[in-house]
Amino acid sequence: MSRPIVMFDVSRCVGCRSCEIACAVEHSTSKDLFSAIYERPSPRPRIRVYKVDDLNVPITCRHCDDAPCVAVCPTGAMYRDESGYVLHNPSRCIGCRLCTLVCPIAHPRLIPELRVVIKCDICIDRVRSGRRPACVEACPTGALMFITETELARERLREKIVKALLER
Amino acid sequence: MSNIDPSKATIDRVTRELLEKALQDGVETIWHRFSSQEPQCGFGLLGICCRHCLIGPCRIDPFGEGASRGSCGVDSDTIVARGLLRHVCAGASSYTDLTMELLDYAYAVVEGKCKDLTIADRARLEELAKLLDIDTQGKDDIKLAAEVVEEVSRDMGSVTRSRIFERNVPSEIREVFTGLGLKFRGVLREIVESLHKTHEGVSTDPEDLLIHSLKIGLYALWVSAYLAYALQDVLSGTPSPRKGPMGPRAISEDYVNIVVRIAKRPLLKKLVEIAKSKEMEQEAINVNALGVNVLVPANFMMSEVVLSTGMVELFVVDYLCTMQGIVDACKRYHTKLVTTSHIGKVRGAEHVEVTPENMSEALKKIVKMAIENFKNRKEEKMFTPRTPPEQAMIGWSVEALRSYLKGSLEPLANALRDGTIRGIAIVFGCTTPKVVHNYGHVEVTRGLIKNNILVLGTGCWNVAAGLAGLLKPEARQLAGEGLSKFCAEYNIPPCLSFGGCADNARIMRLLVELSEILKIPFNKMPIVASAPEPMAEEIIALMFGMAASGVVVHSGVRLPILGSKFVKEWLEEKLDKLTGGKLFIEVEPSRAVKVLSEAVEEKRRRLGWS
Repeated sequence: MSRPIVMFDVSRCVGCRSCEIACAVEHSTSKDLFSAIYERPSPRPRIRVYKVDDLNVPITCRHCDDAPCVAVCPTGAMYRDESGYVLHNPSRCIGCRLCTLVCPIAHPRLIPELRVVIKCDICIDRVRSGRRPACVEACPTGALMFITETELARERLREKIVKALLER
Repeated sequence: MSNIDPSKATIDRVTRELLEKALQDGVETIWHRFSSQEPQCGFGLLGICCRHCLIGPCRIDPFGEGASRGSCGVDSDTIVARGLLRHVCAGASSYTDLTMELLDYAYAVVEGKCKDLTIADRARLEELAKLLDIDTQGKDDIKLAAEVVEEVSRDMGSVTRSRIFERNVPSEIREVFTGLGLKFRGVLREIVESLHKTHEGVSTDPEDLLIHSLKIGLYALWVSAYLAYALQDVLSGTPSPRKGPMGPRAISEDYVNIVVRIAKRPLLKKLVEIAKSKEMEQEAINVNALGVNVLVPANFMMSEVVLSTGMVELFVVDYLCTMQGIVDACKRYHTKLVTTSHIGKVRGAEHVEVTPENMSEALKKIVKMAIENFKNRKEEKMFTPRTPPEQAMIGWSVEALRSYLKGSLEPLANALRDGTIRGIAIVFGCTTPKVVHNYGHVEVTRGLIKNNILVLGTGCWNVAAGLAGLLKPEARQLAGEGLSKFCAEYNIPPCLSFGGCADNARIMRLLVELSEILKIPFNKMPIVASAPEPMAEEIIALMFGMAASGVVVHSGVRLPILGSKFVKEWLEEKLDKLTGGKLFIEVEPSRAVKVLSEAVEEKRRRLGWS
């Protein structure tokens, strides 16, 4: 299935965590930074930047084709929508964390005061209206991209060709 | 380049036309560059990123999940308050350094090394002398000036006390800060001490840091900005209002045009004098121009687009908020950018150092560069906006207002007491891509005069208010009944243009005189202030100086303080209990007008005035 997801280029990530802020604000009630910080419960980012050795790695849901979280969810809270993204319905969630357990990157995480897990929803409302996810829009260096694997491959190939030409 | 919609970028019609032309010509503007900065970093916007030591940058998670402390252990309150104090110190430094460069000129005059300036205002010199306990009797201008500059230098550098601070800051304000255990030494020591406080591992008490922001604000306003305008008056005379065309429409096709952003008025005055000399006029005629014009047609946000007239030969600056982008805009036309002070060097500009010793020689060289460049104009790039020019009255001073009020400020004091005029507002500060250009200034100003609040303004506000037609006497039709009647009686506009940013101190002198006539403490006066479109640290310093003086102050742009509830509430609530002042943020001008008008009425209630 060829749908754009959040791809990243670790060589471009400077670790500013702007994606985290933008994600939290996007998932707030007010959608405004200056109000969102006073909301209770606090809005939480889905994307997180991890420090791995010397690299900054912005990690969020990969929206797997064969998603184990959807397979194990006992209540059907975790589901795949018609465009192929893995989404989560909090009203069905019981906070059992099976999804966290089976996810290879342990992406869904429980928010104790909400007693449900949260996960990346690819900013589905934005994407449906033709915009990019908030984290991608906020990234100042272009480390985050909202593209398909075909587009990523094309981009990588183009970089290689340009590099080869420049070296000649 | 991203798409910029001129109708959404500015409310001013001339600026809109010029921006459209600039876009056609492929000029990259501040609006383009700002949009490529968006979305801006949330940590920075909230003021919770600390970069003051090499352990950092440390950031606090505003959503309370991650780090609640920096590596050294400080929380968001300290990080916000410490960052603010650095802003205030930088802002205060700019007025202080302006004053010190003016002292260079004053020293040169008294030592006979500057042939181009004289003591132009004995009264202002005597005012300074009195402030510093210098006897004026039997001393000629030069002798008295020599003693004054020496004492001013000593006061600024004193490690023990500042008489200028002690005597200029109203006693009731000074007492509040003395009560907090503060001392008032020379401005240089105070700025250095506060910078020291912000160093890693020195002061981490957010309240102490906030109190010092207020203190340095007081120094910026009542010492450095005061000295800057007073020394400028001494060297180039006290201003009085003159009427003329406002804005880019003053750029005339037939003349050699020099656009300036110059902070030092004596230098500007000399430049005008040379440009208007017979010799330069003849040189202009030789290149088929009618003469040479020196203009201040643009506020900060307009400094690039004003070049799209294609008729600006030279852009001359010292260090009055000159944005780097002008250099690239100049390249699209024949315009040359010239810097004149070692303090403000701009990459890509030509530098002609103007000193007290070489003043007329260097300025003549600059005017000749402009005349020489006239022939390089490109017909196809020339553009005159269709919007008709607007008239404005600019250059008010306490002395000028007194003479318009028939020799005394009492009519204004009486109008305040009886409620004909409800209060006085200082509207000041910059322009910024964060606010639709001129929208904040014009909406706030219109709202205030409608509510019978007299507006006294400075800085980039001048051009905004002037272009909106608010600086001419006829603008009283837009004012409320009482203010309108008062303005009609004395033939003054409801908004008085008081000059550059340092001239906010001139406004303070006026307000002090009014409080003396009314015999009420300064911080009880129905005075408010607004910076509707601020961006410069100077303006942050002035906001703190005014709030510390008991004035309710509005910022139309979010200061980087919202990451600390403590700091925000302290500036809105605790400060009122301390000095009667307040510093609040409101990005919607109409709501700001409401809060400011209510603050005026509240001050009147506390005075028992109806």
